[in-house]
Amino acid sequence: MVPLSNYILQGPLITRFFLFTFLLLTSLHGQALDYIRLAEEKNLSESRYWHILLHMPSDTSEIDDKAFFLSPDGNVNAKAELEATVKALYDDKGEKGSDNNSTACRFPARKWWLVRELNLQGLPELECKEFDVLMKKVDPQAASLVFPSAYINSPASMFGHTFIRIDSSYNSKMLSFAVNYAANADSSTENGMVFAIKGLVGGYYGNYSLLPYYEKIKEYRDTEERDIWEYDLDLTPAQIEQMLRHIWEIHDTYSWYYFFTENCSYNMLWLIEAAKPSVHLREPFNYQVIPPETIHVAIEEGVITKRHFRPARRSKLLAYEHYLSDEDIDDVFALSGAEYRLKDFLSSKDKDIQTKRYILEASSEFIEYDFLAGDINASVYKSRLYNILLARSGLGQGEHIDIPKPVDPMQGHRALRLRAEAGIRDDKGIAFFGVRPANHDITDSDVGFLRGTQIEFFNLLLSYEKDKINIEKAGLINIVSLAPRTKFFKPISWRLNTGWDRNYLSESTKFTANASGGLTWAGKWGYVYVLGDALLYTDRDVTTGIGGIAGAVLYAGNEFKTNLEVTQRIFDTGSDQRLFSFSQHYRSSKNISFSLSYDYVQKYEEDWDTMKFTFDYFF
Amino acid sequence: MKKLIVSIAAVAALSSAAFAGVNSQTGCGLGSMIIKDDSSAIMLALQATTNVTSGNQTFGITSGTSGCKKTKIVMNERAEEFVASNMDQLAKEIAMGHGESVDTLAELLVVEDKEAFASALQSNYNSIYTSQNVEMADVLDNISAI
Repeated sequence: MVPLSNYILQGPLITRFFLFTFLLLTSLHGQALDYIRLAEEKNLSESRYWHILLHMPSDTSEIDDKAFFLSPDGNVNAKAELEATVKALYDDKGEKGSDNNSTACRFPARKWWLVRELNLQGLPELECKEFDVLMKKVDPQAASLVFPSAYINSPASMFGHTFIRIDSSYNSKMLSFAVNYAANADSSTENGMVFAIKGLVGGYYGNYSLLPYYEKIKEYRDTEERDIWEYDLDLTPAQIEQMLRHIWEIHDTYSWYYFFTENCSYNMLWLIEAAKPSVHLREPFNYQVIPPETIHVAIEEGVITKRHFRPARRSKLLAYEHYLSDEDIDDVFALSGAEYRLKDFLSSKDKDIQTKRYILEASSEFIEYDFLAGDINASVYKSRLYNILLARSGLGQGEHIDIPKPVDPMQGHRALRLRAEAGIRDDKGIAFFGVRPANHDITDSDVGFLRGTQIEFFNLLLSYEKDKINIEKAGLINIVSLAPRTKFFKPISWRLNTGWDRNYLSESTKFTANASGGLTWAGKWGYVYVLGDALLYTDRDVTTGIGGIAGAVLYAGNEFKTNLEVTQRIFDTGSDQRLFSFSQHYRSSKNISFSLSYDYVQKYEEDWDTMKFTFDYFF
Repeated sequence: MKKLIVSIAAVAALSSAAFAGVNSQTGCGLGSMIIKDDSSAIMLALQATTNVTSGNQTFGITSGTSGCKKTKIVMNERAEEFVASNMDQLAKEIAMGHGESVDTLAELLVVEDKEAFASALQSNYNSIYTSQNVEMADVLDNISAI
């Protein structure tokens, strides 16, 4: 028997080649098998971190893309996937002169971790050019969780969005990169309703994107007019490097996007855990993930350090309102509008130079606002902006305006509300119990929320009186946007309400839908509003009606708040109805409030007067 | 100032061929921002329930300057991308003589004295923004000529 080594050294070339390759592969495989055995001994595939890398909360991965798994059943078998990964790392090779498609280059986070856990030796040497370019350019040094808060006239936006920002060695945060997860759909071609439904049930793919942070700043600060809050994460550069490796692994994969659960914010939690597995961020979320809630959890887990505020353009313009008189504001309108008289303005002796600076600065912001709103076209915008800025540049630096920082949204109450009430209705005792999964109404404490903005889903309130349980209210969606009119902004306020309640003339619980529109005015003291209302109730038949609503919300510090509202309705049946409510609220802590309230509802027979004491707990 | 700026031309530009530019469709001059979706409030309210990517959000480490006129002097690629993407904000801050974008540009151009840089840009505003149709390349070329 000729020893194998002789064949390799002396046999025909082709045989030698194949034998050599065979031996090389078997020895590599042998090596892989040794490590797989070691992994089994260490029970590595059961470890929390391996499950984080596979996005596998228990037995099934949330990543729906088969290409993410090296084993055919890798999405449901963490052990098979780990073994397949170790094998693939030893079998690894690139193609067509590039290693970018090798396992090591496609799964750098898995490789990094396995090398550390198993002390893998003798892996093929590969050059991951694409990933190296990314790592070098992103240059991870620090990271933050970024939360663009609600924008005016869109209560749904208070559900918000979060994404991760990775900071580089540059001082300027504008040069950081944003890692974002979103449903991949074209909002311009799809109907809004279809869109919302598909978003809820998982009709879109979710995708990751990476882009310069300044693009996100433009999107939220300028286009969407949302204040941006940045919450610095307590992560080391090495941890963020591993996060970036993991982002690379998943950036090309797809998963179904579910608005309530596997959404943008939830997927950021996987990334933070991939960086720092000692924090447990996903566990508290069972049935829904409201974006700001993820930051609440991150704070509780101690992974948030500093907080920063980046005002929206709207907030900046509102700040200018404090520095400018009504007459100055007229100048802003004139300069940014058609009545163009820049030369007269500059030579005018009526205003001091600082006021002129403020007026020109506000004009440059206002004209951009007009342009983004589609009120003027690009060439008009460019020429007016150019001239306004030219005038401003001649006036020196001057004073900086002070933009008031709102209360951190993380000081606000949590999303889920439990309510217990006790009181008297028409001289008889009555008790209420309520649960509301989300999110905020205009009687709740506004600390950390945009005043006058409400969005409620599935608000349920039961009452108990005389051994009888009634559904007092079963809301489907209740949205309110009371957007104040200011010197610069003249929005319309509106309200949408669908569900069942007992506010109709008869005593039983009725289905209702109503839509209102009107105006709101605000000050430091609070705000007042008037709305016109179109409504329907399904009594025996469908009853339609119109109504008028006037209300006021007054504040005393962060703790006290008073709500007043009166409604007059006229129905197509010829009946009319009046409703009145008054409530006084006290915020005892972030998640606990007490209220006293009085409600009057006109009825066919005996009108209802309800006085009650309310205890609310948010979590 | 001139010496300072020209010296930054030596800053090596990273290859980013593997990544798509994300801002290529919005332009290189003033007025190149994302225009608001003019959907009704209700549609917006519904849409906000699914955070959706607009078409321009890809996995890219550059905001792209592919459609833009080139600068005359060899420039730091990051500075070109930054200026192309932030033309309006930068113009406003240069006119005011201060701001985060001006500081960022100073950092990209490795300028030590940010205040002197901001005030030099402000007092030379009309030679940087020579017309309403200036593009990124003009702005950077004009700044380096100060």
